[in-house]
Order: sequence, then C-alpha cells, then structure tokens
Amino acid sequence: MNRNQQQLNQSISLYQGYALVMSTLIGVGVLQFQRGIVQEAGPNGVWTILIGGLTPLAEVWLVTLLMKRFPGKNIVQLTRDLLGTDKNPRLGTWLSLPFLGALSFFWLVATAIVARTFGEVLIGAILPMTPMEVIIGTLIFSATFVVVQQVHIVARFCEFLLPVLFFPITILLLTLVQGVELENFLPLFELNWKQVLNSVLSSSFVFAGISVLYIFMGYYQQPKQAMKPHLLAVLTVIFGYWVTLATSIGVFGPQELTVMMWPTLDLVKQAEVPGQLLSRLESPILSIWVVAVFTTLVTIFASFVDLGVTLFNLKERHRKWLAWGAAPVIYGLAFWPSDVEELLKWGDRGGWFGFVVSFSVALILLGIAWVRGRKGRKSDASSSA
Amino acid sequence: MPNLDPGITRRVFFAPCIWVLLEFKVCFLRERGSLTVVVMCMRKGWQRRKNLKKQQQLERRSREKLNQKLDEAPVFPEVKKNADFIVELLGDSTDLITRWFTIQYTPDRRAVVMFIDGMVDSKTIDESIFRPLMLKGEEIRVKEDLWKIIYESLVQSGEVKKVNQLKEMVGSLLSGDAILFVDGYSEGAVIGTKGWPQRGVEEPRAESVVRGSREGLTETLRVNTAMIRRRLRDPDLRLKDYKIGKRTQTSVTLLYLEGIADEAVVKEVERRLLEINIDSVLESGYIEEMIEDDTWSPFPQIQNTERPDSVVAHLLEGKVCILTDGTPHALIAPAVFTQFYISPEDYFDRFMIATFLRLLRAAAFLIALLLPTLYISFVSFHPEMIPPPLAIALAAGRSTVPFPSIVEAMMMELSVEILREASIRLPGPIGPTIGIVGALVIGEAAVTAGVVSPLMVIVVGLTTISSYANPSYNAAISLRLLRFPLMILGALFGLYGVVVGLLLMLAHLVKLRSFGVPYMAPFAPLRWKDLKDTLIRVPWRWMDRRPTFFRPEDHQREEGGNSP
Repeated sequence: MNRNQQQLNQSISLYQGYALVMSTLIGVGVLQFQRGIVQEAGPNGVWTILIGGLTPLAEVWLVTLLMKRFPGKNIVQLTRDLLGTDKNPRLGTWLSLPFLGALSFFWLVATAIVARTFGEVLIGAILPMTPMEVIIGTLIFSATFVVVQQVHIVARFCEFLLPVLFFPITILLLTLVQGVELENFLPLFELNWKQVLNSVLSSSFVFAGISVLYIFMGYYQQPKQAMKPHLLAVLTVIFGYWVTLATSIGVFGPQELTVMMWPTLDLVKQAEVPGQLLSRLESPILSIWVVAVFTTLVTIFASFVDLGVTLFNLKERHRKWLAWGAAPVIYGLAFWPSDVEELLKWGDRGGWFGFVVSFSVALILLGIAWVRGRKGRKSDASSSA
Repeated sequence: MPNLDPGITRRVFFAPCIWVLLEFKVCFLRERGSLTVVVMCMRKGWQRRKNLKKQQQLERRSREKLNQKLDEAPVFPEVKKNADFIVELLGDSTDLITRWFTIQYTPDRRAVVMFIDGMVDSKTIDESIFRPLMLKGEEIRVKEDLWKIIYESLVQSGEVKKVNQLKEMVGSLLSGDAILFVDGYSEGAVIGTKGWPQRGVEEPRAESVVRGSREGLTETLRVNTAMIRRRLRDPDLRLKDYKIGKRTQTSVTLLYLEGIADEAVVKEVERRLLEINIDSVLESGYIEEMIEDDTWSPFPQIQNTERPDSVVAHLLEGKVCILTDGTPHALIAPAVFTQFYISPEDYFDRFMIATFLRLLRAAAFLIALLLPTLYISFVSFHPEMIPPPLAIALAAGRSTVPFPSIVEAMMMELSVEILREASIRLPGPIGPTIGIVGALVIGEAAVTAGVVSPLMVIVVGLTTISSYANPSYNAAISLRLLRFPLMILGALFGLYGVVVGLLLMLAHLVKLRSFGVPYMAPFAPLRWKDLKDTLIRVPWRWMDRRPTFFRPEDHQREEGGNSP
C-alpha cells in the first residue's frame, strides 16, 4: 500500500517532464514574440534570440538543481524542510510564505493574462462575433475541468498532446521554402551593446513559465535524471522560436514585422498547402494553438492549485473546491486590462516578474541549502522501490 | 451613503435578529393547542417510522427464518420427508419430476430421484440411473452397505457427489442435476445429468473476420470454457466459479493465466465480483456495469467479445476474462482505449496489411467522430478554409437550404441514427434492404426538395460508414453519442469549440483507469516499446514481449532465435 501510494505520488516520467516544459513554454507568446525582438534588434533578432535563450536555460538549470536536491518534494514541502529547524518546523512554513506568495501570485496573474490574450487573438482572427466573456469563460471552465485532477494526470494530459505541438513546424518549413527573401536578413551585426541587451531581455520573457517545475518536479519518478530532458525541452522550444522568427523575418522583413499584431498568424496565411485540400491555414493553426495555450494554462493553473493544496494540507477531494474557487478570480483578473495594448504591457511585465521571481527563488533557496548543507533524504522512486 | 448614523445601522441590523428570537419564544410559549398539534404531528411521523421499522424487521426475520430453514436443514433419513420438503420448497412446480421406486437389492427401502424436466438429459437418466438402480441391484453378490454400493457401482455416471445439506441439493437440482435419496440414509447423491437444448457453436455475429476461426462463444458456460481450454492447453490456466445474482444464481467463471496475469488485477476483479449485490444477472452487461471503474463515462472500460480465440489472445496478454452463463459475450478486463479499435484479424493477416488496416480504422475513427462537426464549423465559421471552387459548389448546393448548417446536420444525423436502429429491429432479410432503400430514397429526395445540401448527404453517409469500420460495437456506439455534443460545440464556436470539446474528452480519457491500468496507455503514459502494437502492428517476430502496461508477471513472449 505504502509503495503504491508512493508510486502514485511520484509518477511523472522523464518524458512527461520534457512534455511539461515544452507545453508550458509554448503558449500565447508564440504568436507575437517577434515584434518585441525585432523592434530592438531588427534583423539581428535572428541571433540575439539564441543569446536570449541562454537565460531560460540558466533558469531551468537552477530550478532543476534545486528541486532534484529534494526529491519527492514540491516547493512547499521543500521550503518547509529547508527553512524550518527540526525543533520548529512551523517556522519554515512562515518563512517560506514570501517565496510561495510571489510564485502563486505570478501563476494566478499569468493564467489570467494567458486566457485574456487567447481571447483577444481568437476574437480578432476567427470569431469576431463571439463575446469575449464567453470565450474566456469556456476556456477557464475547461482548464479547471482538467486542473481538478491530480498533478500526474495533468502531466499525462500534456504528454498526450505533445506531438500536436510539433505540427506547425512543418507548416512553417513549408513557408520557409516558399516565401523567404534572403535580403530581409540584412544588415546583420550592426548593433550596439545596449540594443543587444534589450533584445536579449525581451526575448527571454517569452520563456516565462519554467517555474511550474517548482511544483511538478515534486512528483517526478526520477528527479535526479531530470536535468537532461528539461534542458532538451528548453532547447527544442528555442529552436522552434528561432525557426518561427527566422521565417517571419525572411518573409516579412523587419520593418513590416514591427507593425504586425500577430505576425505568426500572418505567416501561416502565406503558406500554400500542396494538393489544394485547404485553402487557408490560419484556422487549423489556431486550433493547434488552442491546444498549446490550453496546456500552458493548465500547467500554470495546476501549479497554483497544487501549491494551495500542499500549503494548507488539504485533502485530495478538496482540490476541486480550490480549483473551482480560483476559476472566477482568474476570470475577473482576465478582464482587468482594458485593451490589447495594456494587456501586452501586462504580459511583458508579468513575464519579467515571473522570470525574476523564479530565478531569485531558485538562487536564494539553493544558497540557503548550500549554506545549511541540507539535502532531501529520499532517493529516486525507482531505486528505492 | 454619506453620514449615516451608526446607531441606525445597528438598529437596522439587529431588528430582524431580535424579531426572529421573539418569534421563537412565541412558538414555544403560545397556547397549548398549537404545541399539541406540533407534538401530534411529530408523534404521527414517529409512529409511522416505527411501524415501517417493525415491518422491515419482521420481513427480515421471516427471510432469515426461511434461509435458516434451508441453510441448516440436513438431509433427513426419512426419504419421504426429503421429497416433501423439496416439493414444498419449489411450490409444487409442474416441471419438477419426482420418481419413486424400489431398489431391488433391498426391496423394503424406497428411493426417489428428482429432477427438473427439460434441464436434464432424460436418456442419461434412464440409462445410467433408473436402469441400473432398478434392475442391476439384484445381480450384486457381495452384500454390503446399500448406500456404498449405489455410489460405487450402481449409479453409472461420471459426475456423482454425496451431499448432506438440503440447500446444496436444491441448488444442484435447479441447475439441472438429478438428485437421489434413499430411505434410511441422511445423505443424498447429486448426479450430473445436465442437458438442455443448446444453440450450436456458430460464427459470431458482431465480430466476423475474413481470416480466422469461425467459432463463436455460446450461451452455455461449459461449452465456452471448453472452447477456450482447447485453444490454450496451458496448465496455468485458472478457472474460478462464482454464483452471482441472488435469485438467478448465474454461474460466472473468472479465467486467467497464473504467472502471466498481474496478481493485483486478479484480486481486484475477484473483489469487485464478490461485492456485486444484485438479484439477477441476465447478461454479462450487468456484471460489466457493476465492476467497471467509472460508470459516468461514455467509453467502455471492459471489452466484450464473442470469439474464443480473442479471449485466449487477451489472456495471453495478461488480462482476465469473465464468462457468464447464458450469454455468448465474454468480458475482458482491464481494457485500454486502443484495444477497442483492434480486430483479431490484425494478428492473422500479414503485418503490413494489418498496419494499413489499422491506420485506415484510425482515419475512420476521426471521420466518424468529427466529420459532421467539421462540416458545420467550416460552413458557418471558416468558409475561407474551403478551396474556392469547392466553396462555390457548396454555396450553390446550400442556396436552397432554409436551415442553418447545424439544423441541417442534426436532422440528417438523427434520421440516419433512426434508420440504423430501425434496420436492426426489422425482421431478418428485409432489414438491410429497407435501410439502403430508406437512406437512398430519403437522401435523394431531401436533396431534390432542397432541404439539405448534397455535400451534407455525403458527409452523413461517410460518417455512418466510418462508424461501421470500427471492430467493436460498444466503442463505436460511444462515438455516435459523442458526435452530437461536438456538433453543438462546433456550431457555437467553430473550430475553437471543437478543439475545446476534444480537449475535455481527452482530459476525461487521461483520467480514466480500468482496473488500475491507465486507459490511454501506451500513449499517455508513453511507453515507446508498447507502441509496436497500437496504431501499427510490427511483425510477430519483433513483438517478443507482452505489453508492459498490463503489468504481466512474465514479460517474455518469444525466446531468442526468431531472427529470419
């Protein structure tokens, strides 16, 4: 029984970890990340995004390093152990509150921003007559339906949907072959350091969301080996973004890109399907994108809920009350920004905030763990079972 | 609300509270009359409850008494008493045959044989019970105890059992055995004489294959176990019998391969079978519904099959099989999503063909589930996706249709479903004819009349045909069901609605478990090695290990040395 319980609690496989990172990172950003980068760096975005990719790599490295030091514990249990003394475990909980508060605040806001951005795109692109309330409502409702499940079921959900996220790359390659003009990439390397730094920063915001690992890694089967799949996932995402950016610059040129609302969407409109089966691709791409956004939403929301469940020591059957209780709050938050411009500003700020929080939490806690010499006791589930 | 006097607020807030308190007081202190009424009402209710309780208790006691009477009654030494008891228990049923006779060995003793007419093979009874008992008794030379002689040499039947409890005797009598009592012995004999008219072994109706065995399971449990045993001569094959259904006392057999099936699954199935508390089991569907994991799911979590070879194949994958007397449908548990889209034939045909057929079936699955939905969402939300020539043709076809596409699609889908249902009920050979004629005529007429567009007819036809490409009926039926909510979602939100609908479906599927096995295995959780036998089928030579997600105890299916 005990063994079964442990297996159930720690049942996220490495492949699921890969899928989790992938599907969290690919989200709303993929439709509009080009603008920020190109505004700062022009055609040089082609290589600055690769430098920008180093920050999420560092982030995922730090987070994984911290989490694998305490196998089988999510951030709540980890901080309780790490910050509390053996005599007074309560102290750990109190001291961990600022960290957890910052993280959960980010998750809550991020879920709302993602839902709202999603609604804006959908209404702008394919459903002009549908009210925003309905779209965001259905999206949050469906996400909550998934989030009321246990964490490993959320992971399984993302795992199943992972192949779907790879489809668009073929379409992008199709456009790449069909419509790229090489002179759009020029001139390269005419940048000062400030511009490089700005564009690196603006591209690193795209990768916000790695912090969900603070929760999910607590349920891994083999957290010790998780580093490789995580890095691989981030690299895959960087590659995907790089292909998208390169194609967008190649097709539209940097000047045009800065004035586009959703460049990726305009990009797929350019693609011609061989065989004339479908004449325009934006609706199927948006459908796939619904999947991508949905998985992002679900993982972030699930992290928020699981943090609450672990923090307040709730029973498993109370998870759904927490999730359904949080859903209207997210719905309300999603309507906070008054228009798209404000929303995008929120998105940038949210990404920045999330990145800083997740990075500093990992750094601080790792530092404390190193100074106090604390380590988790349990080893991998597979080796102990 | 500026400068509101705090005193007023307090008064406004407290007044109702005080009023409620006062009311309570009045309720308790008012004149005795109303209080008495209240008490009377309470007492009446209490009386009724008490009466009900008393009645229930009485009923329970009488039932217990009856059971006790039956449970503990031993076989009486007086043969008359035994016979009377059974006749009385069965309420003088007309099909109970009681035959009195004398065994010639000791003419002073009476004996009786009882059996149920129609459930026994009367030839066996005549030849192996009556003839030796009535005639051969004299020929026995060694004088010994009569009862021993009867058991040892007079009753010439393979299945004879001595029983000293009347309840067991009655149970055997009702399941088609003959029972024998002899005067002076407080023991009876149960003689296996089961033999009722049976349907022969025929080709299964629902799961026909081009290549493969033509035998299907029948309604008789013993014939079924024999068919399975004949294909699987493994000493590790285990059969466990249960009687389920308080009144029907249906025999149910659990089959599994010891050393291959996961012990935990076997235990779990056994536990759930024993927990069933129902008065009748007329078909394995009763059991399926009582033991499945999630009743609130449109997806079947236990497979049923009519094919003995299929049962054997599942047993060899480490699953368990539940056979129910009275139905040719065996249950297979645990089941995963993919196995409902696999035909037994896939393993008999060459692997390339099997793979092709499986991909074809996957396409049919998607068409059956999504085609009408996609039609609706394309027509009403995303006309830009349709290539221009087709869009023009479509618009021309739809120009006379007075309804929005959802109404059009719903109408057609519903009429096809009705046709399908009707053609099952229609007698024998005219069923399919009427179905075809109905579909052709109605479809053609509807297009000519301008009620539906020609493309809609194609869509509906394709959908229906595709749902027939599914090898398993109960999985196909769940698709038919899910199509309608998806159509509504498509009509409301276009492709977005469809995707959200599919995501919700997936969320449910991923959560589902069948006896501890994740329903979407081996896709989620992903096991690369087990993908060999899902959407594709690799050659048998490479399927050297059993699927791991059923957690078989013996993984090896083929030893090495199978290389070409």
